[in-house]
Amino acid sequence: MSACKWMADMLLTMFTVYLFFLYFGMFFERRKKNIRVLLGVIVLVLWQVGIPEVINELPKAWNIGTTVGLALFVVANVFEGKAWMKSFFAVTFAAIWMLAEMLIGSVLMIYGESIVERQIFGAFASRFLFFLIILALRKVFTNEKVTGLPTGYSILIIFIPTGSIYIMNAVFVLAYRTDWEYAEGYSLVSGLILLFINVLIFYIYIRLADDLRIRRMNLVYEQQLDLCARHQEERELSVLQMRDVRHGMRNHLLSILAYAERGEREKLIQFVTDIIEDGRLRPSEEINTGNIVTDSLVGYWKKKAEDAGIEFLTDLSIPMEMPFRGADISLIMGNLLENAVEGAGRAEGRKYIRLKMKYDKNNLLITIENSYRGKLAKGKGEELRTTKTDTSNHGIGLPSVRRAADKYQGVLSVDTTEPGRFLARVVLYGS
Amino acid sequence: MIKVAICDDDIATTGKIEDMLCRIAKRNFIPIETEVFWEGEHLSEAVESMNNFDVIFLDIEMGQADGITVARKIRETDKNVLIIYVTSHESYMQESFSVRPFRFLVKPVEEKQIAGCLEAAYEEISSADSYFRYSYQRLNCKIPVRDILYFESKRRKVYIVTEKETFEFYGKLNEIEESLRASKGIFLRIHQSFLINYKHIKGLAYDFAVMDNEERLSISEDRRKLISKQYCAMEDTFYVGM
Repeated sequence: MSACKWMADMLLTMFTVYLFFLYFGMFFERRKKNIRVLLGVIVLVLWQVGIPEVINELPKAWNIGTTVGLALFVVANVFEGKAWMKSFFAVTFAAIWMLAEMLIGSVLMIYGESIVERQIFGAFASRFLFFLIILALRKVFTNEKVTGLPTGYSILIIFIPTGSIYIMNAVFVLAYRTDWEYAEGYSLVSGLILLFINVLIFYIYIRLADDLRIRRMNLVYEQQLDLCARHQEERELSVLQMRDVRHGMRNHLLSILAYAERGEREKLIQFVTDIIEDGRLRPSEEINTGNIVTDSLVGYWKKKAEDAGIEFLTDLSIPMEMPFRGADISLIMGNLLENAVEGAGRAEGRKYIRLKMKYDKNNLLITIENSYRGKLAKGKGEELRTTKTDTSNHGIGLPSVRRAADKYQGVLSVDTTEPGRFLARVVLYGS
Repeated sequence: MIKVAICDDDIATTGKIEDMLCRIAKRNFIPIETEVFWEGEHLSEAVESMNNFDVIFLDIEMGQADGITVARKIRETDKNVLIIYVTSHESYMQESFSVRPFRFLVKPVEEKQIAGCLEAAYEEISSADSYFRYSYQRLNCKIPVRDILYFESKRRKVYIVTEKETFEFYGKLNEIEESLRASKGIFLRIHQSFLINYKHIKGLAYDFAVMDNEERLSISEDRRKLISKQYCAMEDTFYVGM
């Protein structure tokens, strides 16, 4: 019997450790240093083994305190991340687990009078419930699209499962205390309804995030269509110009012939250079790499920048076709160029934007540098926050660039070490 | 001395570029030697017969063998030469990027553009023109940095891998990395035990690099972000083609 109990304890401990890693793995990266990880795991195991003995001796408040404290200690050792985030998730970890345990406990107290090995069964059941909750959370949090929802939404939505856990607890406790004969049936049904609502909420959450993403993509596509249309117009204009030039060519040739016949070499040279200098035969000023998305986008922002009195320097060595989706390029370039034009426009002294694109070893390298004035707001992590007041419409810039770059295992790096100079670099890997 | 080859099937263009190059070189005190080819085959044959150039100005639109094919052939024998495409189109074909071109010049070529190109090339060449020195079994040895593909450390030994042979000595990769940083040669530490020469990377993905000898070296996970940043910064030598 004792061996059996010991086995069950071991299994329980292992399951808890697994749950612990499953939960925190959603939010944090595991550390590389093995000694600290080992220390953390050992503490976790000891804590789990020792729990039944300690729990009965300590008062309730102390109990919660040690649980949170130990969870925090282990998380700090095993995972990387910010301290305040760790404490937040450690507290929620403890809270969810306790609620799960209370819930199972209440259910057992009401319906499980006949189960002899109540404690072990309860421990297993509560952990299993916790496991289900974690799985559900994982579905929501590791889904790349879903993280795109604004944090305000997420917090509000998290309130629903948390609140329903509380309500469920209250329902069972009340049902347990009351003498009314139908209480058991009612409480069970309301528990099931609450569960159903929670499942629905997760589903709605995912749909909402999906919707938001699609709306954003649509915005990008719309922009791209606009730019392409504008580019097309410019193209048509230059075709018309070309027709003019071709028409004029005959006259030019006649003049050249005349100069040649008369042997007037100096005049002939002067005439030909004049025609070349005229601009129509020189490589045109418009951006023309043959890559329609890039051309239209850069052309558009170049014009915008120059209208605002900003010097716009380009060096584009890219082929006509690249292994990257137009929408992604457009998202990345559009956001970065918009930021650059805005930043350089407010700069004091020299206003400039320097754009370099290079296609190298099947990878695309983009560098955008611009002058700016004023402060950059540093948000959490290395993310820069928008300084614009209308935050709901702005500030999606750099994160969405980062997300688009992620698709190609790419990296966005921002360099603001030199005062007055903002430098953004993007690498996209094509292979 | 910088050896420059100019290849274009239009004789007038080659003459113009050669004239400009000589003028720019004289003005900037860059010692140069030029050779002109009017056919791509002749150029690739010259490269094959150990006529090692430092810079090649290559026309893409040539009659018989087009510039891209010629460039590919050249790359088979010479991995170091800087290829500068001269083209009359502003849009470039994707194939033309496969030989790692140094620059693109759009015809009609102006002196300012050529000057920028030549100066950048000169800087590039002279920076790669140093030696890596080490001692092994009380022998002092040196290897031109431009020949080194990568350093690999195994136990206490460091192996220097070049295209043809591998050398070894006792040393620490950290110290080598530090000393090479001073000598301008661009080396990337992609792994705890690999230090690779950027100039000899044939292909680069986020998690591995293919060297000129077709060897595939993986980039360790914690260095990927840094390598990406360095990669982008390295290719960012700006040049305004207007």
